[in-house]
Amino acid sequence: MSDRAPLRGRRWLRRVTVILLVSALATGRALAHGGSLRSATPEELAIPTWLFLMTGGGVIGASFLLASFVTNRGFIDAVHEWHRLLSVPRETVFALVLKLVGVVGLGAVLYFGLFGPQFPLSNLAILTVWVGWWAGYTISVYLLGNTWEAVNPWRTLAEALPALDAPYPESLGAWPSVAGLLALVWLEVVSPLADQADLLATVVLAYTVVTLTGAVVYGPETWFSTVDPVSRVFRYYGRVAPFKRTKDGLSFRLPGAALSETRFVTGPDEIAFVIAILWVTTYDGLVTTPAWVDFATWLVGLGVPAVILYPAAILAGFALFLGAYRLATTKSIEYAETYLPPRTLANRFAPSLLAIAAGYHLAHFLGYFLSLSPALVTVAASPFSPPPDVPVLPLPSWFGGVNLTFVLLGHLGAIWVAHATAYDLFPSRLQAVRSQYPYIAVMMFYTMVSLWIVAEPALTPPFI
Amino acid sequence: MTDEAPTSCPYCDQRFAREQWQALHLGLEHDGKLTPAEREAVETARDEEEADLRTFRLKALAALVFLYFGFLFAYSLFA
Repeated sequence: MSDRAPLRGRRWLRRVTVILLVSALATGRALAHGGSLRSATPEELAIPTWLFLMTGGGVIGASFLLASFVTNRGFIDAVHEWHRLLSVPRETVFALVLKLVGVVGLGAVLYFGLFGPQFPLSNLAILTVWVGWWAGYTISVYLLGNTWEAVNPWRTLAEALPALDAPYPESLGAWPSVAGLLALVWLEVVSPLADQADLLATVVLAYTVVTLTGAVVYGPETWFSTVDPVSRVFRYYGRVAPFKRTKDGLSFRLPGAALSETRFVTGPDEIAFVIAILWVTTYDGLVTTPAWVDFATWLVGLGVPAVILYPAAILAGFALFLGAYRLATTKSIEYAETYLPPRTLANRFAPSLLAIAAGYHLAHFLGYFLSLSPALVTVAASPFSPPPDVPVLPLPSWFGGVNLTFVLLGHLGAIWVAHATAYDLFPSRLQAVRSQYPYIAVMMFYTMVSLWIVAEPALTPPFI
Repeated sequence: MTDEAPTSCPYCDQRFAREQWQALHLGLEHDGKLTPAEREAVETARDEEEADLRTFRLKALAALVFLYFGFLFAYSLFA
C-alpha cells in the first residue's frame, strides 16, 4: 500500500527528508507518477475554490477574446508557415548515440530493477524511468523535438529481429494504442510502480515481450507507428515542439505551429488518442481527491466490487471527455453554419489540445525533474552502492507560481492554434470566431476540472 | 441555419450557407480566375466582413472589460 506523496514544493520536500531520515519506514513511499495532476499547486489557496476555478475559466475566455482581435490572415499564415532549415552534421552518428543510450537505459532499468538496491530513492531503475525518462525525456520531446524514433530501445531491438510482416487490420487503426495508453496509466495508478523497483522491472519486461512480439509479427514500422502507445504519445507530444526532422534537414518552426496542419489527426481513433492523453493526466490526479475517496467508499458500500472501480472510472471519464469533444464538434458545425463534414472539424481542432497536455506535463514534472535530478546523477554514478544520503534539490517556494504559468502557456498555445485552424477552415473570419465557441467552452471545462484537482488535497486512492 | 438559400462555389463545388461567405471563399481560393462580376462580389463581401468585424471587436472589448471588472469585484469581495 503506497502512500502517494503529492509532488509539491515544501510538503513534498518534507516527505523526502522524512524518507531519507527514516529509511526503515520508507518502503511504502511514492516517488513519482506518470502524467499526474498532483503538483503545480499553491500551498494553500487564499481564495475560495469556486473563485479559483472561475478565474481559470475566465483566463481561457479572455485569451480567446484577445486572440480574436488578431484578424489579419496574412499574419496568422506567416506565423504558422515561418520555418528555418538547419543542416545537422553527422546525423547518423548522432542517431547511433541515441540508439545506444536507449538500449543501455533499458538494460539498466531491467537489471537494477531486479537486482539493485530496492529503496526507491537509491534505485537506478526507478529514478531512470520516472525522473530521467517520464519527466526529463518527455519534456525534451515537446520542448525540442521527438527523438524517440532513434532512442526507442524496443525499436532498435525489433529491427535486429526477423519480421513476419503480417497484414495489420486497417480497421483497428489507432484504437489498440488508445487501449494500451489507458491500460498503462491504470496500471500505474493501481500499483506501486514508483516504489517497488522489482515490480517496475517486471512491468517493463512484460511490455518488452508484448512490444517485441508485436513488432516481429507486424513488422517494426507498422507496430511502432500504429499500435505502440508509448511511441504515439511521443509522436503527438513532438508535434508541439519546434524542431522536426525532414528530408532536407532539421526544420525549426515556432512551438505549436505544426499543430494546425491538415494531415496530422485524420480519424476518430486518432482524436480519441489525443483526448486519452489529456484524460489520463486528469485521471491520475482525480483518484487522489477527497471527493473520489468519498464516492468510491459510497460505491463499495453499495456492494460494487472494488476491483472494477478503477478500470470503470478510467473508461467512464474517458467517455465523458470524448463525449464533450464530440458535442463541441456538433455545436461548432451549428454555430459556424458550415457544410463541412463534422469529422473535418473534429480532426482539425483536436491537435490544439496537445498544447494543453504539454503545458500540464511541464507544470507537473519540471519541478519534480529538477529536484530529483541530483539523485538520478548520484545514483547513476554508483548504481551498485549508492551513498546513504542521496542529494535532492530543494525547490524555492515560488515554484508553484511558475507551474501555474506553464499551465497557462499551454492554454494560450491551444487557443492560438484553434484560432489559426478556424481561419484556415472558414472563408469568413466571423464564422471562424463563432466556430470556436464550443471548443473554447470545452477547454474551459477541461481547465476547471484540472484546476479543481490541483486545488484539492491529495489523499491516498482507496481500495488499491 | 439562416433563411438564405445555400450557394455553392462554381469552381470547386464547396457549399456555403451565405452568399457573402461564398464570395469571400472565391477571393481566398480562386483569386486568379474570377470574372469581373465575381470580383465585384468579393470586394463587397470583404467590405461587409470588415464592418462586421469592427462590430465584433467592440463586443469582444466590452466582454473583456466586463470580465475584468467582474473579477476585480469578486476578488475585492471574496479574497
